[in-house]
Amino acid sequence: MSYQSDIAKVKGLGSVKHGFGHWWMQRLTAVLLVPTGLFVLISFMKLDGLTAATVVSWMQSPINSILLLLFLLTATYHGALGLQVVVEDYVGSHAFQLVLQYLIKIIMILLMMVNTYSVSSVLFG
Amino acid sequence: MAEFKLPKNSRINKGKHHKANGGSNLTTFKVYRWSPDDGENPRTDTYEVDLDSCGPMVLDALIKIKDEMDSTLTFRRSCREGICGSCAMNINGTNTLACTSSIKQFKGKEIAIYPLPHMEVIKDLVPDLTHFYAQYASIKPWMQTDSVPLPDKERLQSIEDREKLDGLYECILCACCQTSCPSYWWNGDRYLGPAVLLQSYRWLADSRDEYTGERLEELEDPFKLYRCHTIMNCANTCPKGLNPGKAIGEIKKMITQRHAL
Repeated sequence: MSYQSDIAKVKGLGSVKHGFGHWWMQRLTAVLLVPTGLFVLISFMKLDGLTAATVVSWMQSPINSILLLLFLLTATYHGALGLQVVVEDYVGSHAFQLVLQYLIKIIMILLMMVNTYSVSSVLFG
Repeated sequence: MAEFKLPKNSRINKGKHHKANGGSNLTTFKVYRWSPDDGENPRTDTYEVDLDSCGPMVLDALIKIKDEMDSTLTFRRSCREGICGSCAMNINGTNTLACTSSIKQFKGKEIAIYPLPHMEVIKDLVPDLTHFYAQYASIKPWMQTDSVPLPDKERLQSIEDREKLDGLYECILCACCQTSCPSYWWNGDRYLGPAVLLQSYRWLADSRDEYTGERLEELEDPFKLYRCHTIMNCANTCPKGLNPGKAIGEIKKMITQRHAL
């Protein structure tokens, strides 16, 4: 039984005085995904068949590679921000939530490294 | 935490059927019943009400049921004109006020009445609003100032500045929007919810208040404010036609401005 007052329960540990950064980056990355995503989609549609050879030759243009990498990194970051919110919303256990949040961040960093390595290894041959 | 199945002691059983004493213009009301005293699961009782001897609103039917058929039915009501917010409940799937909800709109179909969703129930249609009221108190819903007013003058406000409070001051704190919000269902312990955030913005938008910065600082929190994912059930259900989702958007805009973007 707790004799804590209702207002003390509501105030809890207090406001953390941030949250804007996450919210802002979620929107910023969403906006960035539109032009970069369309560029990648339209470029792939214009290719003469989606074979490894045509994609590799398309990626050897620095502009194409940079925009593709920008799309991949933005999508990974945006996805991680979204998953973080899903976990905060739906996972009740704080311990499990902590594990999942660590996992999301580690997977996000790994994916970003893989993205960067894959695109640059094709670009630089 | 998301809960997709009711706990065992909350599952609803079929209840008693109360027949009308005659009459031809009958409509059935299916009403959620639960008492803390008998240790039983909740149930839904059905009541046949003759609309020829009943007022036009759902609240009139509930009062008739309590007066003439089953005096144990428990619900809150007071003003019967949509200004006190006491009779907020879930009627045919929508949170609304029983006193401003006409029976006719349901066109003779069965009318299902439940308490406001995802709140602890005190009895029958009476939810426990203690936490909601404490959340409201936590945002300091009064004018905060440092300047000392002249003793013989009130604080002045232009007509334009007063108009900024339209769509905000009309909120009656019935908790219809608050309890329609999935974010509030899952994280109501920390998320302030649409009604409380609308009230927060009511003071942020008030030209006479001098604590805008402090108020925004308190609100900037991943749970208190940013749990709003613009689902907009709040605006959809508000019996006063207000838009808490827009007010929350305005708070987010003010915080964005504060970060000089």
